[in-house]
Amino acid sequence: MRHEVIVSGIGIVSPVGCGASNFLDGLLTSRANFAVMSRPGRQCESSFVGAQIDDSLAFADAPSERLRQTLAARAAVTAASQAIAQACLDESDLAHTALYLGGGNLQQRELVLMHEKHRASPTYVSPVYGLNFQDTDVAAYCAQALGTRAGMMVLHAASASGLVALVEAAQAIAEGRFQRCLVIGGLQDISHWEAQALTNMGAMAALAADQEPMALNRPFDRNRRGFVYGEGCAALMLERADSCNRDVEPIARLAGWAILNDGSRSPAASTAAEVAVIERALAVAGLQAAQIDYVNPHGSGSLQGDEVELSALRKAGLNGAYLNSTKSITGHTLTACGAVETVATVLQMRASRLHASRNLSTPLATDFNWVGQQPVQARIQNALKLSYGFGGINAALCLTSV
Amino acid sequence: MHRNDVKDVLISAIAEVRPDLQFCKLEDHDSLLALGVNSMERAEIIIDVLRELKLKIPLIDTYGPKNLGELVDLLAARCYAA
Repeated sequence: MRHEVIVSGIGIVSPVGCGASNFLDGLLTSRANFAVMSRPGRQCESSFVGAQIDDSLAFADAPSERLRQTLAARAAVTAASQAIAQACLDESDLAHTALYLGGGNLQQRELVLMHEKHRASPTYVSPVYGLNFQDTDVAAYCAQALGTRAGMMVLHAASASGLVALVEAAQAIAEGRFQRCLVIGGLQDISHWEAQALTNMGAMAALAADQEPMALNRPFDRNRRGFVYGEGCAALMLERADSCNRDVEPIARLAGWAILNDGSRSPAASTAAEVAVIERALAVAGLQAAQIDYVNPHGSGSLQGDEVELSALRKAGLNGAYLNSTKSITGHTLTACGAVETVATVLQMRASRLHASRNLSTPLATDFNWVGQQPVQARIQNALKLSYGFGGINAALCLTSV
Repeated sequence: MHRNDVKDVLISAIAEVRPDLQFCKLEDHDSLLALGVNSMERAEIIIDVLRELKLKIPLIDTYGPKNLGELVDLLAARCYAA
């Protein structure tokens, strides 16, 4: 018996907008906010560009901070609370809800700040560091704050974490292991160390001498220089369709999914693995490539990755589907991106509108149905979300309108 | 360091870790446990205080006191001994 899985609530914290309607409005108006980052710990003789959340807007309603609550934890609880509210769940429902957090090393910047603060005398390092360095910390913070008690899973799959968490939660529900799962794509709060290393490996974009920060982030464009970081966190409530009998309107159905590892430590993407994961997900969903109306790609702006992704989409027969780049507006939210972009996909499906791709002035390939620099109106019955992560991790999820 | 100075350091550490307690008038007979301070928060408060006092003692040595007054007495005595 394979149970049908639906989405009953979504939540989002992003510089583009917080809350579903605000985020959708931000996507459709390309409300991007890329600048040299100013959060403490993000720069060291550097000028890394990224999109940062305005804490005073995102966390205006949050309770007062306790025990040095981190940015990643605040974002996760805020996004999850939105999803729970939309799904109309009470305390006893949440007690029977499992928590899946996609992402690890979510609090690197906070740890770097602690190293700096306590370097002269490590004897007095803050005890909470002992929680913060564990990948379970953000999930545990959420479980405590929200009351989810059916299980707590933390899945780290690099930039595919958010989508891998969604896929694993969907599989658990389909198999009958859980009735409901709260899935969070965790905000990966990087420090200048991660930013520098990702730049040094050629993955993260560095500003050219005469370039404006707003022009740096250009996935799938011939003039791209790598990915541009964005803070962000998203949450989705997944439920078994036949047991969601509250007065709640399902938002979308998860029709099929797949995860595939191609056994590579290198950050390089693999066309064969990407084609294979797409074909598996379509087969599980019982869909042909021609039935996919819209693809929300991984498309980070990587020099090699974007080329490989387009080649894989072409080989999978998906170049007729609409294609845009959510990362061109949100930036690359790393571990969160699979969840952030699934939220973007679902919202666009429901609005029958697809957002523009910022800075896509010279697309890498012209044989695709790009949503260029203006949004388009389109009815989307079936969509495909893709995420790829360092470590040869490939994930695909088919969504259908309900 | 004078006992009252140690108490001031302790009170400000409590307010730092638990901003919701910053306007409570804390007395010697109050206990962190009764104030709803959990074990991690207590550890944060104590390490903050030890840092301010430049006192190097193991956390476990601060487990005996049953209330704020006893804790201040212990810390003041350790400062004096150092």
